[in-house]
Parts: sequence; structure tokens; C-alpha cells
Amino acid sequence: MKKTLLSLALASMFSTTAYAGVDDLIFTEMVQASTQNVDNAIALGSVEITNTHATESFTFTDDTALYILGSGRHENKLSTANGAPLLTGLTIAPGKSLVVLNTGATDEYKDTITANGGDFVIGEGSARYTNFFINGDDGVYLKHNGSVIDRIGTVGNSSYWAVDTTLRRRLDSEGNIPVQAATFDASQWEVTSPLDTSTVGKANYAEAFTPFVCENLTTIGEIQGPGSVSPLVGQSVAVEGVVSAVVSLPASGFYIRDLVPDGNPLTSDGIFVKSGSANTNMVGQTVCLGSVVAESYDQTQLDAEVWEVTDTSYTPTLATDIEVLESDGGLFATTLERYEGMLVNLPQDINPLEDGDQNMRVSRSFSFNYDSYRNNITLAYKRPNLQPNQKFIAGSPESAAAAAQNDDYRLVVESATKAANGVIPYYPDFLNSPHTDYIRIDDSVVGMEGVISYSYGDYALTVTNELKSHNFIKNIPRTDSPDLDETTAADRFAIRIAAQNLFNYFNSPFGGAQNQFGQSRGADTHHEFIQQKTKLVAAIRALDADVVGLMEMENNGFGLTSAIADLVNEVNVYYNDEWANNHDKPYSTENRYVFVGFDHNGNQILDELDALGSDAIATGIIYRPSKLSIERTRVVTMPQQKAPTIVNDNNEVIKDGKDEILESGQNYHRDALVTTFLVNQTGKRLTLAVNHFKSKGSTCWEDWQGVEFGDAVKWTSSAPDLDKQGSCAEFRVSGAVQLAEEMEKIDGDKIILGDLNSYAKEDAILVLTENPRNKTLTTASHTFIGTKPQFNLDGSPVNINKTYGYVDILSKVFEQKGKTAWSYSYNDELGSLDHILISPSLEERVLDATDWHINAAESSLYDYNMEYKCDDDEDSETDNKCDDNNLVNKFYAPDHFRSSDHDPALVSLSYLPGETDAGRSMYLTKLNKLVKVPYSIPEAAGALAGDVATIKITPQNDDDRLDLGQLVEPNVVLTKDGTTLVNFEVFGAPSAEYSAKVELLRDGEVVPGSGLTFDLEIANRDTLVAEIKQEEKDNSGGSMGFISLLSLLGLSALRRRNRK
Amino acid sequence: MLRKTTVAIALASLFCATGASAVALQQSDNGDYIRLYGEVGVGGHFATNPDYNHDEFYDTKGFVDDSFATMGVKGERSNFIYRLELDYQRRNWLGGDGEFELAIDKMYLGYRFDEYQWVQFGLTDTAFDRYDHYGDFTFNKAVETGEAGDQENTIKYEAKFNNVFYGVSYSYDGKHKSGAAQGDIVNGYVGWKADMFSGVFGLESRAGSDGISKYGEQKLMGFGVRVEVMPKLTLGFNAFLEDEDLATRKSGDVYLAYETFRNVGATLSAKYDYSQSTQVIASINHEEYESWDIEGPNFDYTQLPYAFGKERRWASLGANYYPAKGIVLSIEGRVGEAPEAAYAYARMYF
Repeated sequence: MKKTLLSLALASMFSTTAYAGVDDLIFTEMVQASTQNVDNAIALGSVEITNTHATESFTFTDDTALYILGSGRHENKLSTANGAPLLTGLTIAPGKSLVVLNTGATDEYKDTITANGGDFVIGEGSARYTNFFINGDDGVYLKHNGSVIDRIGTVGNSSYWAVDTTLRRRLDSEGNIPVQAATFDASQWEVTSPLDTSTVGKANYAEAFTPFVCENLTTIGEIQGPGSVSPLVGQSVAVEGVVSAVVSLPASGFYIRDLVPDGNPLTSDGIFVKSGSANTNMVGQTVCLGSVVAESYDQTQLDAEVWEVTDTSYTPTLATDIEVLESDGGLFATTLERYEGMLVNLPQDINPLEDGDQNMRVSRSFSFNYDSYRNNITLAYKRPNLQPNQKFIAGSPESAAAAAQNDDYRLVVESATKAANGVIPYYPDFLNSPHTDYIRIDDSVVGMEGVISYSYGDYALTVTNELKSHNFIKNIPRTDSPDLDETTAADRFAIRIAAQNLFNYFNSPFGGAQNQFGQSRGADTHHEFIQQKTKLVAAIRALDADVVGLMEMENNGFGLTSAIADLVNEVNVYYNDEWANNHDKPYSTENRYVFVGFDHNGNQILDELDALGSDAIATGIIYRPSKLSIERTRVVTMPQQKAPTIVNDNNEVIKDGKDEILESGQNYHRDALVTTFLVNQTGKRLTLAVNHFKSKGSTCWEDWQGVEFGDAVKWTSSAPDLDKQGSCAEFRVSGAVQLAEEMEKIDGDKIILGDLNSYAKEDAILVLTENPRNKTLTTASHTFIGTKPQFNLDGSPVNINKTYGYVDILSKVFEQKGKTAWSYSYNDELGSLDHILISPSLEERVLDATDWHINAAESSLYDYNMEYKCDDDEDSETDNKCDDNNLVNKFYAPDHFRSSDHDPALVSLSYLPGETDAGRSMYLTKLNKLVKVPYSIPEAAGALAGDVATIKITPQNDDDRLDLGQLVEPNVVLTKDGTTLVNFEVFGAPSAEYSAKVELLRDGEVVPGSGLTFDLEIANRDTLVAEIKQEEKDNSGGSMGFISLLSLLGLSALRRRNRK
Repeated sequence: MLRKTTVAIALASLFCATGASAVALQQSDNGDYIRLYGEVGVGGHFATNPDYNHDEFYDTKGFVDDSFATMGVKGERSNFIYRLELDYQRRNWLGGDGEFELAIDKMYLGYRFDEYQWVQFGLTDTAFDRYDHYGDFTFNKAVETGEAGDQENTIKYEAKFNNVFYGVSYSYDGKHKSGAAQGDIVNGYVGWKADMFSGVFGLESRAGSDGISKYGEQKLMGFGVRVEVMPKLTLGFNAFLEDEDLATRKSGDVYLAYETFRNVGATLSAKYDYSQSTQVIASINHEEYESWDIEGPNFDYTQLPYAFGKERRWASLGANYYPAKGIVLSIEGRVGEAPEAAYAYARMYF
């Protein structure tokens, strides 16, 4: 027999005789990190099991298994990767500990455990809920033959009772090693928070529990002190106070206040007692407890699991109004610090030192907060937080100061218990009547009461009273139509232009044309699709614009079943009255839209193959042929980034936390749709470029430059973003340059609109508008227009010294009104990603411009989606949608609110009939063979009532062989002195180019100075079916007539360069 | 429509004393005549190079056939002149299909004022066409001057005195060799010919198609010189500078947004008469088309490879061998950024 086999046999003989009993196993330590920091929860979440037997080791069998008590409710048996019970086969030596860890536990932590003499096992799991993951609201237990033998955490306690906490088992009252306990007794565990991992792996015990004696009391005012840090930190104190609130958020515990306040406004009279043992019956009772004073992430707090109730009767606590003092030095955080731990009220006016009312405003509507990982609301002092780059140049000290002020003014509003989807526990009407009792961004919140806490750099208020709609005062109320002034001077008319984001309008899964570029991003079900369409249609109709630029339209071409055709058809259904006398009614067919088709593949047919670029979404344009006619369409190809893939020092491709390529170097904008319209009844061109620049979300090559990856193959940190422009700021500069350069080739008035994914003072906008501080604006590297390098052949970036002079009309008009434009809400900051940039030539035409806050101001609960909205626990486990047989989504309404996540932007422009661009004739469209020919009577003519205006039109080209048999050239008798505009209703003029001669007759004689001659083009309106508009020659290609032989003489010098 | 390359070749051969030939069908004492003439040529381009194929070949493959035949009748009666010429040629240029086609290349009537001056009306080559490669001795073409070539509806006046020669032509509604409209074209030249030195300077102007085709206005300046440096060695220099407007986009059938492209080319060539029947010809060449310039605003990235660059430069060395009257065997090799590696051709004239 070989020696090894012999030794194994011997070992097994000894081991069979030397087993410790299962009774010797106990939990001795548990670490739960914060729910706010998932990385930490993964890295540090752990539980320690100790074999207390003095001499014998213990090996697990299938009889003894470890479970997690998920959120106090769910019993999850842990397993290995192949599905076996996690601990089976593992052995714990006598007096040693085994630590169970998450798969993401750090090497450093593992080293700590090993150094402490412990072993560890990774709870990999084989399926959902069989891996080891605890994050503050969980417990663990051991089961032997079906019976619980030891446990941490109370069954049914779903609160975050152990956030950022280390629990160490105490020695028993006699100072001996404790024994198993199937029920959890908090007094037998020492609580350390913030968590401490120094003894994990070591079979150590905390001191035995000593019952507390309520004597030698310290007041809360003394503990809080006047500064932000307690003067008594680290000391044991005995405190007596009235319980003002019991909460489970942001952390589990209760708040107590001094029986008699100290009267010092600089010290708080309340304090948070962290506890997993509190219940709401305690509110109003007077308790006495002992604790060590701790600072938990800069919040002064106590810990207690047991206390003495010194008065069981109810003592009310009146909420204290928050008030700004001069001593706060202008820092709102200093104001809140004075109230930390106290029950407070948000009053109508927080700051008596300033004129008017300063109160708390909703800065983020009720939604999932990715910082705290739960549904809540964020308020800001005085005003909603504006993204720092909305008013100040990105990277400037002013922008940094604005960011700091946002941090200072922030107050997160928590419910006392975790809010279910769609439920605000302290505002039940929100769910009961969501369409009347809604909360919008910029609402003033008045009369909200709660306790103030501080954690992770933010103050929070956990609400204790029940609110009604009057507690949310609407500063920007809901409206059913945008507030846009279109009052024009006499004789003039307005053209309304809007930009609308469609929130990924995808019809390909529901019968629409195939999307060639990937999966559907929009509605998941037909039910959702109908809801999405209904909302968008309502919004577009309410915009009532003459032309609308659309973003996030499915990129499935311009055929009959394209997304844009589907949408515009539905919008048009409402406009059904054809009677001419109702032409100005909202339901008149005059308001019908048609989409602008782009024959992108040049096959002379608009179909599904005309998809643009290579993204699943594209932009689109719809317009009213009654107001505008297309002169020219084109697509501006936007730059692509084709940069190297981001690799580590070993030239390995780095992946992110989702195992996707961190940055491939390949990035795209959506191609810009550019349409030159003629404003009907004028000869004015209006060019609209509809854009959707690369987003701020996923990164570009530039964002990782300077990051030291070392040999890491996985990178979970975000890219640095010092100037808060988000990802791809340089790439958006490249896009802005390309767009502006192409637009420079187009004559006439121009508008760049759409989602430029840049706040108003970010680099791309500075390029398009102006760069008053000469900020260095740098493009992305390795950008191409098609296959052509955009700048340098070697891909190096360039600094853009030229700006293009467009006017950010939204910012300008809002500023004139003393307000700020915004169209998008991200986290708790507002800003404009959706812009209307006009050429300076248009500025004098602007009547008004606005954002219509129907989307960004609203909670996402009102959108078309069915996820996370059921009013009960009916959300399906698999897709988070309301169960199919219970499609209760109280938040959906067939209206325009939250039709998208971006607010629409609008501008109105004023035009005078008959005005033209230089060299362009009037463009007059017919309706029922009638065309109105405008005649602006010269002032010198001194028009008088009774004068007769006459018109004579003559075809310009005899070759047209026009049938003028029906032509009626009316005389118009003036009814008023000083008439400035006459519209001749000419009948029966076929579509063609004409010369018109108009004049005034008075007593049969021509009034001197009244005569005018001008060119006009009479045409049919664009049809309501999208057509390919063929352009007319642009006269840049020479002439086909005889040229003089003499021109040869002029040849000697090389000629003018024909170059835009 | 005759391809310009072959026009150049044909003209070169016509000027070449040893190559000229014709069959006199009638010859009168008063100078009236009728002559039948023509040629048959077989050969082509070897190892064409896709990297530098700008406008040369319909396909870049090992051998691109360039075989060619022409036959014509010309005559004079009482100072009235005429000419009818048929070509059978391959459409082997970029955008062509490589197949043969038969075309009427020239069809004009004219009048000879005297020994030195004449006019032509009809389908004929424009004035400068005849001299656009004056300083280029290569048998295959080197750098091509993009003048109008043959045109219909043309009036041409030419004069040739002892030393001075000049000509001018006007073509109504000119066309590109592809048939695309170019508008009216005027071109002309003036030259000086002497024993040691001769040269031609030409100009061309076209009116543009006004949106009908991609061709807009154009101005071209070209010149060629020949210097006999030794009895057997002649140097030539040929160059052009062109500003040509081309459409940069199209809407339906309408061409739009014409922009000016500047093109430059130059050839320095040398011809050495090794013997009565053998010539050795060398050239160095430079060509620069704005549409090739990848950094230029109008680089045509749909047509050209990404790495084409701004210009191409190459050199050639070749020989013409005349084994008998009316027969020429030609071979040429190229190095550098040339669209082909070699050219070989055999041709007989009658």
C-alpha cells in the first residue's frame, strides 16, 4: 500500500471518530454593507460561522445547510455553483471560523480573513437567490434536518436594520461562549456601525451584555453640540428622550428629542438612534437608553437594541419650522445641520432674511433614485437644481460653484418605510388619484414634516405626516397647450416650429417595417405601444406646430409602414373637417401633416430601404403643407468615431461590469435631416436641421484617456467627468463642426434644432453659438465622415477656433423673462438638451420661444410603460410588469403628460406675406384653384378707402402653353385709409412662374408710386403623401446658351473659384 | 466618340513621318485627291494597378486590351475638303464595359483658303486636341490633358505658316466622351515651330451643363514644348492647369452644387533616335487632381480608395521600333505610382 493512501485511510479513521457535534456551530459575526453602495455590499457582505468545540473539527453534510433570510421574508438556501448545498463537505477546525463571502469579495478582504486564522467559502450559487448577497436588510440562519438551529435577524423584519453594520456575538451573561439560538436576540449582539471587518475570520466574542441603568443622563443638545461633529464622539452616554419618529429609511431606528429643549438654535435637540428593534408603537413614549456616541458618515448617532421605557404615555413632539439664520453663512447644509435628528416642518418661507418666500422645491419627481437605490423624491432649496453647465460654461469656476450649490441645497425626501413602486407612503392620494394629485418638478413643498438625517453627503428628510395636494404648490402648473405668444403685427402671420422627442417610437414589432439596425428599443407589448402612440399623438396635436422635428423615431425608412408614417397618420385622424369656412378650426384638414421623406438610397422611391445611418433610431420631420413647402431635402452625414479600442497595459480589451467592451472606439451620431422649406405666401426660405447628437451615457475614446488601467481586464468605475459634460463632449464638438460647416453651404434662414445632448453652455453649443471666453474647444480623435477623415489623416484632434454664430433662442427668451430654459431632468438636475438654435437673420422674426414642461417635470410613472407601476404586489417576478390579468396601471392616461422623457421646445416666427429672399420669387400655393397674391401697398401711394387695387399676371415662359381660360384677376376695393396689404384672390392660374403687375387706381387713374411688379411662382401645395422633392437647378453649373467667342480672351487668368 | 488616349496615339502616329501612310484613290494635278487611310492596332495595358487607377481602366486586371482599328476617307475638291472616319475601339476606360464599339469619329466638311489656312464644320476634333500632348513623346499617353477632344457641331479654323501655327474652335452643346452634356466649348492654340525649338500654348473654356450633367464650367490652360538638344535627342515638356466645376450632389435628375476642382499635370519626356527604325522614349510625370485629395473638401470617397493621396508620380521608359514603313511596335514600362506596369502595342497603317 502506498504511503499516501495509508495516511488518507488513517486520517479518515481519525476524522470519523473526532467529529464535533452540530450543536457546536454558531454564528459569531456578520457584516452587511450599505444598500447605497452595491460594490461595497458585494465586497464586504459576509457571515462568520464558528466551531466552538475545543478539540474536534466539524464537517458539514447535507443535513446542515446555510440559508439567507432575504429582506426578512424570503428563505433562500445557498448552494455551490453546481447546485449542491454550499457548506456540504467543508470542515471547520476546533475553535476556528469559516466565513461565507460573495463572489465579488476583494482579495484584500480574503487576506484579512486568512490572517485572522479563518477560512472562507464563496457563495457562488447556481441559480437566482442561491448565491450569497446581503445588503443591510437580510438575515442568515442554519438549518439542521429541517429545524433552525441558529439565526441572525428577526423573521419578518424587512427594514434595513443592519446597514453598514458589523454584528459580533456577545459572550453569555456568565462570560462563557454562547450557545445556539433559533430566535434572534439583538441584545446578544454588539453593533458596530460604520462596519468593521478587522476581526472577521477570528473566533472572537464581544463582551457580555450588561443591562442598562438609566442614570447620569446627558442631554441630546450636549451630544449634538454646535458643530457638525459631536464633542462626545466615542463616549458612552445615557440619554432620555421622547421618541419623535420610528423609521426604516435611510437607516432603521428611531429619533428621540430632549424632554426640555435647550433653547439654543445652533444645537439640535434630536438625535437618531440606530436600532433594528424599534417599532412604531414607540412614538410618543419616553425612553432611556445607553450608547456610545458615533459619527456615521458625519451623522451623529446612537445605537441601541434595548432601552428602558420611562413613560409609556403619549407625549407629542411638535415639528420645528426650518429657518435660515444669518449664522449659517449662506450655506443651506449648515441650516440643515442644526436640525439633524429633529422633527421639522418645511414652511412656506424658510428664509426670513430674504424678500419673498424661499421654500423647498421638487428637484426630482418621484422616481427610482440610483444613489440610494429606492424610489424617492429630491428637493432643493429655493429652486430646482439646474445642471451647472446650463447657465455657466462647462469647466468654468462658475459652473463648479453652481454644482457645489446644488449639493448644498439638496434634501432627499424618504418615506419611513420603503416605498413600493408607484406608492408614496406619506401621500396616498398620489396613487389614489394620480391625475389630480400629481407631483411635478418645481412644486413648492410646504407643510411636510419629518426627521432630518445625513448620510453620504446628503441630508434627508424622512416624512412623518400624511400630505395632501395642497402641500405641493404648483409653480409650473400642467397645461393642455404650450404657452407660446404668437401675436403678430398687422398683416403678418406666425409660423410655429417645435422639437419633440418620441421616447423611442418603434412600430416594427407591431406590423411596421423591419428595423435593419437592431432590436426594438420602444414598447415591449402592443398594449404599451398603443399607450405610447396615444400619448405622443396627443402631444403632437397639442403642440399645434407647423413643422415638428422629431427625435428617437425608429429608423425603418419612409415607406407606408414606417414609424413616421404610422405616427403622422394617427395625428392626422383628428383633422377631418374639409369645409373651407372651418379652415381656422383646430380640427380642419388644413392642419394635416405630412412627413418629409428622404430618398436616402437614391432609387427614386420612398420606402423602408431609405433608413438613415446605422442606428436603430433616427430623426424625422413632419410639416403642414398648408403653411410650408419643401424646396430641398438632404441628409448631412455626421461624423463617426473609429478610434482604437481601449486596452490595458497588456493590450487586452477591457470590459465593464456587464462584461461588455468598456469602449470599442466606435461611436456615432444620428445623421442630421436637413430640409429647406419655403414659407407659403412668401419667398422666404427656412432651413431646418433636425439632430440627435451622441448621448452623454456611453463613453467615447477621449473619456478614457489618462486613466491608468494597469493590467485590469474588468473596469467597473465610471470614466472621469470633471466638467460634468458627461461622456463624448469632444465627439459632440466634432458633430457640431460637421453640421455647421454643411449648414454654411445653405443660403437663407436656418434653424438647428433637436437633442444635441449638450447643456446650453457645453462645448458643442459654444461651437454652434459663440465662445465668449475663448474656451479651448477640442474635437474628438479619429473621426470620419463616411470613409473620409474629418480633420487630420492621422486622426489627431483639432482645436476649433471658429464659432458659427447661431442664437440659442430658448435661453435668450427665457432670460428675457427672468427664467431658465430646461427640457430634461437627470438625477435631480434640470437643463436643456433640446435646443432651437437660429441663424442671426431670424432673430428679429422671433415672436416667442419656450419649453413645454409636460414630460421632464413629470414622474416617469406617467409614461406608457407598464413596469413598476402596479398598485399592489402584482408585479410579475420576471418582467416587473403588472400581471396580464390585472392590467392596473393607474398612472396611465391618454394625454400628453410624460409622452416622452424630454420636454418639447417651440419657437414662433413672424412673416409678412409677399416678402422674399433676394433672387427668389414669391411662392404661392393654390387651394381649390384659388391663390392669394399679396400686394404690399407702398407707403408713398397713400392708400385711401375707395381706391381700387388691380392685378395683372403674365406667364414667364410661353413654352408652358398655359391654359388661362379660367383666369380671374380680381380688383379689390380698399375699405380703409392707409391699407398696407391687399390679398388678390386669383382664380384659375395654372402652376407656373408668373410676373405680376399690381397698382392702385383712384378715379380711374393710377395712383403715383403705387405700382409694383414682381415675380411669383404659383404651385400646388405639397401633397399629404410624402413625395421625393426634386430640386431645381441651382445655377452653379454654367449655362447652355451660346457663349461668346470672346470669352476665350478672358481665359488668361484662371477664373473665380466656385466654392462654398 | 473616340477616346482621347487613342486620339493622342493616332495623332502622334500621324505626325510621325515614318508612320504616315495612305492609299491614294484619286490624285489630280490641281491638287484634288481622295485617299483611303486607316490602321489596325493590337495590344494593351499590363498589370494595371487599382491603387492608382484614376480614370484609366474599366477593370484593373492583368491585361486590359486596347486593340483599335480605324478607317477613313478624306479628300479635297476645288479647295473644299472633307473627311469621314470610322473607329472600332474598346470601351475600356473607367465606367466603360470593356466591349468593342463602332463609332463615327470624324465627319466634316471644310474649305481650304490657301496652303496655310482652312476651316472645318461638323464632327471633328477641337482645335487644341491636336496639340495637347505636344511635349509628350510617349507612345502610350503619359499625363492626359483633359481638353474637349472630338465634338459635334464644331467650327474650327486653323492656320499653319512656316513657323507660326494657330487654331480656334467652337463647339455648340459639347459633350463628354460619355455623352454627358458639357455646354458650349471654345478652345484654341498658338504655336511656334523651328528646328531647335517648338512649342504650343492652348486654352479651353466650356460653358457648363447647367444642371443637366455633372459637368459645370471649366477653364483649361495647357502647353507643350520640344527642344532638340542633340541631333538624336529631343526633350519635351507638356503641362496643363485646369479649373473644372463638378456637381457635388444630385437631386433626382438634376445636378447641383457645382464646385471648382483644380487639376494640374506635367510630363517631362525625352526621345532618343537610336537608329533609323528605333526610338527610345523616357518620361517622368506628375499629376494632381483635387478630387484625389483626401484632405480636400471634395475628395470623392465613394469612388476612390481611402489612401489615394494628393497626387501620383511615375516614370516610364519605352521603345518604338519601325520594322517597315507603316508598322510600329511599341513597348513601355512604368515605375512609381502608375496605373499600369507596362504597355505593348503593334500597329500597322495604310
